[in-house]
Amino acid sequence: MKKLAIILSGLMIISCQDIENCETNDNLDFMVVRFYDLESESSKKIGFTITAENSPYTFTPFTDSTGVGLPLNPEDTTTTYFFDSDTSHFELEISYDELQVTIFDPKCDPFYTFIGLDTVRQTFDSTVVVGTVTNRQISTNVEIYF
Amino acid sequence: MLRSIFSILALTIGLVVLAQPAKPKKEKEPVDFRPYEVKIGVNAIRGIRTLSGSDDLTTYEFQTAFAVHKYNLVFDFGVEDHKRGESFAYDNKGSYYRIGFDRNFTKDKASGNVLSLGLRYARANFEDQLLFTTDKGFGLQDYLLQNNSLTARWLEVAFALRGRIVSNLYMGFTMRWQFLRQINGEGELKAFDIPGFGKTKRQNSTAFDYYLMWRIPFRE
Repeated sequence: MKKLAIILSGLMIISCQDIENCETNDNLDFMVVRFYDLESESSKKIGFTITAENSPYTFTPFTDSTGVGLPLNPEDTTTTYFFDSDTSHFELEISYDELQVTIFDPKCDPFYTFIGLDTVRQTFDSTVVVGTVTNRQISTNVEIYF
Repeated sequence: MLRSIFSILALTIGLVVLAQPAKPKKEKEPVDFRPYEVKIGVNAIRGIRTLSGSDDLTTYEFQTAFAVHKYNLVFDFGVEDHKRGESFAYDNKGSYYRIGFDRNFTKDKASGNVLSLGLRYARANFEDQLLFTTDKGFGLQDYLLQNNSLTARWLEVAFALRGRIVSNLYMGFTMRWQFLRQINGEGELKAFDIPGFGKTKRQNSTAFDYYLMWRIPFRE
């Protein structure tokens, strides 16, 4: 009985030790937008300068230039993005229903999760919200066709 | 004549057998449901962590256990204030209680020793706050999120051992499996801890607590 108690105690103490890696967190605090050709529906490379309302930054597309990660404003339920090139100007306004702030681990920064993404307004040919939650398990949130 | 003697003998033996006093039936002792002792104690692990000041946790927990027949009626009450975070300041504070019963499997009630398995209902009332500065793509900003009135409840299966150390001082541990956790009152900020339960990332959790208890017998 005494031995059993010691073994159980040891297992309990070991099981309480958390080893977390911030990178294993599935939460993602930006949405993933991908671009497609309206006719062929294949991935389309872009050369836009992308900015957002109330943001001082310009957002750089992924290395294959067919998508971009865009932050959502935690202070406002809608965010407007501007896609500019020498010959074109497009706008996309995205809203969210719910914001969740979670602490994955005390060593990691708090994470934002945006839930219920939807298109409010857009000037592209077509947009589809295919992933309504920002999460690493979801590869695309918004598909843009033009 | 022989037949008569045999009949009389048989009748006599029968009467003698019938006349044997019946074996006394073992009478069941009436069950006494009056409490025969109470143990009052503290959670030693929580107390040591608080007093050592080794981390940002201030917590105390007290336990009262009434012994009734083969059962212990257990009531825990605790308070907790836990600060966390390296790049942020998260503060979670509140109180909790657990109430339930244990079945004591030890034979010798008079010893006060306990080897028990039981069930608890637990409830916590708490608040939390997260303060941090970050750039989420809209410039560096301060964020303050808080939940002022959170409640949580859960159930526990508890395995406990208590042994006498000296006089009426007892020591021992409780291992718990905590399950069916629910939190109410959360806003945008999701609670990281629940006082008395631990981290919320686990829907079910386990815990190990060490207790120092003083026994007060009600009758010898």
